[in-house]
Amino acid sequence: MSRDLPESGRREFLKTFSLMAGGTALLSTFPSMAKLYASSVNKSPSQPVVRLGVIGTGSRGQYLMQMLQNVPDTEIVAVCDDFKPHLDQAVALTGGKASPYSDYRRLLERKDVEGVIIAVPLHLHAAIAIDAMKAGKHVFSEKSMAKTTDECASMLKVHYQTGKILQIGHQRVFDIRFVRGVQWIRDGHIGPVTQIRAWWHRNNDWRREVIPPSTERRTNWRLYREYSCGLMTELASHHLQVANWVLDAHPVSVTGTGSINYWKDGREVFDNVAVIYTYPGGVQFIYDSVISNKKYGLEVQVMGPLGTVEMEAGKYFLENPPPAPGIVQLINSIEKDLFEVVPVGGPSWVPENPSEDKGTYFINKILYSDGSDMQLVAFAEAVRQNKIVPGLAEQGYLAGVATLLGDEATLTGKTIYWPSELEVEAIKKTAEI
Amino acid sequence: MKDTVITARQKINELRIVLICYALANLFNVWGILRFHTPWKELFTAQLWVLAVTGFLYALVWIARIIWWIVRYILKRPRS
Repeated sequence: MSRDLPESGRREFLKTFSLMAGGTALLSTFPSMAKLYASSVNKSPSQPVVRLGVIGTGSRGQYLMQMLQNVPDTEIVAVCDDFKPHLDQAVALTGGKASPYSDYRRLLERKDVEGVIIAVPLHLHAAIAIDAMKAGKHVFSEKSMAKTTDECASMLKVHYQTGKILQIGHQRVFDIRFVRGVQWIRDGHIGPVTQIRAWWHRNNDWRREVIPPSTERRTNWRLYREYSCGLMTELASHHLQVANWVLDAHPVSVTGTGSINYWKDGREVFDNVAVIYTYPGGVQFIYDSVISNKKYGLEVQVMGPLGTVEMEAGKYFLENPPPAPGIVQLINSIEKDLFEVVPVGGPSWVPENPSEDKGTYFINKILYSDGSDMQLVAFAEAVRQNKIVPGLAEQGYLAGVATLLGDEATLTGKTIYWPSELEVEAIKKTAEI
Repeated sequence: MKDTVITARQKINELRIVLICYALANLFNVWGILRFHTPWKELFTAQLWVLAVTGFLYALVWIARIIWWIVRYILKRPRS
């Protein structure tokens, strides 16, 4: 399929990838990205096609399939879903070229499938990903990693045992705004990170149209505890991955709360959550999410004594920006002397209003990619080269576990500590046994 | 409408006024640099601001002229 437009897709990929490589944060965090980039630049026109299967062809699965159509030298040869309308749509998306399956195990039996894209409801991630890796397939699975911490650990363990790629769909790792932001922070421009504040606000009921009514739970699986942990796994996991990446660590503990205070429609997951994660060194990651107000949208603010980075906006703000030219300061001073109202009884303190600094963008370029396409490009390239990108599976794992510990904190009202058995090194050891 | 003649002398005079405004704007820039201890390279890098101040001063000259012309017209107007 993507063979139809390999050159334009390839040019776009190289352009974006070279922009990302301009900042070294991605490459220093994931050194093998440099190798992927180098081999992509130097590859011959007769590069082998990567043959992929897509398991789960609902809205997200079809979105990823559309992205894959722009990825050079990839081909979707098989699609799987147990909901026939979605399966038919997926086959149509491939122009009828992909073989349909209703049982993912039959798809995994195909020898020509090198990797699978998993876009099924959260509670199914682990079983399918583990089966796929054991069947010798490389795995790209949508976020969050899995429904339980044990499942996350099992997935990482099987990844180590089989040597198969395990990439979780945290696309911000491949978003140039975040790459540049992390680079900026690591270069010390805001000083040591002292706090990260993030939020994700929407104003909708988060429901999908249900046809027929008997499919309510499987269609709106995000709203039910059996399948999902709601706002934590569906939204917070992205920003937790960013916090882990920025701080190059996972949280030590988390405390939080949540409730259903607006969408009282039979859902089982919270419609609002607020959590505080503590990282090594006492750095706090403060996060909240609501789906009853969208004024503030979403953002990740990384703060230090010298400045602030707003990752989603791709901007930085300095606490003490460079002064304006002397002539401008002089004009402002004269203007102030002439026109400012001097109160008779002035305030005894200066109001601590927010800074009016508009910030500076990391890149002066209109972005058409949020990393969703680049993550698939990277996955396809890693599959082609049969090379694991060190650290990438762990990013997904640490974000997944942090998300689930946060969910546990909101449910129990207790402070939850990161269990030692969930350390990456501990998983590695169990994989070696 | 009759043709307007701007003499060479008038042109040189206007040019002199603009140059004086420009010189004053540069002095204003030097004052800003000294008062706020900013780098001397602003003598060159802040030239856009200097040009803006030049324009402002030249506009002031014209406002002063227009006021003078109006006052002169009122004073010289024949009384009925």
